[in-house]
Amino acid sequence: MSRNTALLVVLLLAASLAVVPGSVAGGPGSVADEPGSLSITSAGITADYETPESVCTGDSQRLVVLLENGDVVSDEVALFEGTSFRVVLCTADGGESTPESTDAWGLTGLDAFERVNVDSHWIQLKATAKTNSTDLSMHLDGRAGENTRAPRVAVRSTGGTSTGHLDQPKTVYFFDETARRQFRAGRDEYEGSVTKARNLAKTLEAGAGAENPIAAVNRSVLASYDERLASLESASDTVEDALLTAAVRGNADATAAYLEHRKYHDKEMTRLEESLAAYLGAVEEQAGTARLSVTGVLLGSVVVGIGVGGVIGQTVSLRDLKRIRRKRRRDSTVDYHLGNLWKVFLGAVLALVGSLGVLVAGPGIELLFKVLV
Amino acid sequence: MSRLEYPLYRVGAVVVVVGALGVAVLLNVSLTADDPVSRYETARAAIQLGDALGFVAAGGLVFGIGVGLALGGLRAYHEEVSDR
Repeated sequence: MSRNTALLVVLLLAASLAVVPGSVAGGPGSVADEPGSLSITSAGITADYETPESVCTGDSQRLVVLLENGDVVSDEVALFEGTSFRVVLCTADGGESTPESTDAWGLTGLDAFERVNVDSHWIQLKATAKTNSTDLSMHLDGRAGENTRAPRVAVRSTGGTSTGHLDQPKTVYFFDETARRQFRAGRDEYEGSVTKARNLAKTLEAGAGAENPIAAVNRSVLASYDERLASLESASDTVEDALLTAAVRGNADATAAYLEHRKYHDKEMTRLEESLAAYLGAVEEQAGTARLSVTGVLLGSVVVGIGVGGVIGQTVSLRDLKRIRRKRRRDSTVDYHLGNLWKVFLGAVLALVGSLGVLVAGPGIELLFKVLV
Repeated sequence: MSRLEYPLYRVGAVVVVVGALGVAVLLNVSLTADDPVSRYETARAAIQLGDALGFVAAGGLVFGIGVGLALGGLRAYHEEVSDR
């Protein structure tokens, strides 16, 4: 299974779990009990709120906080901004603890919380502002003054972090400052890499459209291509890892942001790759024309040279060989051999060395080697 | 079949033609790696060679003369030896 497939499976799983029936969108999660120690609970990954009937036990009147991840809080809890939770009033009028109907009680004067839903036995609140600690019993209306125990609820602000680099930005909640800082650093690095990649793509696109593409772009620009590509991939991995972490912890917007980021990243990569392909295509087309010219001129000049050299070589050799023939008439021990052609062979060797000299003095052997190999 | 049925100048001419075709192919087919810098370098070399056509023509002409001298001499040798 490829990395992307595995990530997608994790994401889909997280996304499906993150949408809990009855929950309010935007809740990034909660911090369980013990203010001061931010142990993170995974809101959205577990099933659902506990039912009021199941949490009312004992023989005293008390308020109970139910969290989206199934946690039940009766003493202290710290929540992140945006988290929803339900409050149940358990009464024990007849000796047995039962959830009190919300017709008989309410919660008022809560500045840091917004009432978002009411059921027959619970009131759903959403933490909307940072607050140190709120004793819910102080805000109980209807059954106030009846010695009600209640949890204290604090709201911590992690602040949402925008995926501002995307076409459709999302606000993603990270469940601790370290993760948030890592994401922001990764996002900033990614934006920097995208800017550099876009500049490179623009240069290559301009080079591809130029009249003389090879002169329009320096070698160093091409040499930076692999580095730009690797930097873009690496920065994207950091962003993806951070978004995946947030998504797995139940932030549905992080899942959407991850998918949006993948789309955005693929678009940037495609543009960069296409700009390179276009530029190299233009350069190789220009080189193709040059290659044809070189081939034509080289073969043409060689053919002409062979013609000229052939006539000269044949004329000189025939004259020398006729001299040998005349010698043979006088002396039967004289015979023909290839050494009789020493003049043309010497001329041929000198010409070959000369041609090599011309090519070395002109374009150079290195250039020839680059073109031929 | 005698040796003279395959005269050296014809063998030489065949070698020259095959060699020329080989060079023409090599000039027009790049065998370098696929990375962008190598492709750029090869293309730039071809373009620079195209800018030095005068040297290419002169080198080719002198080279051709050398080959022609040898082939012409061998042809004359073949004719002379055949006539004796």
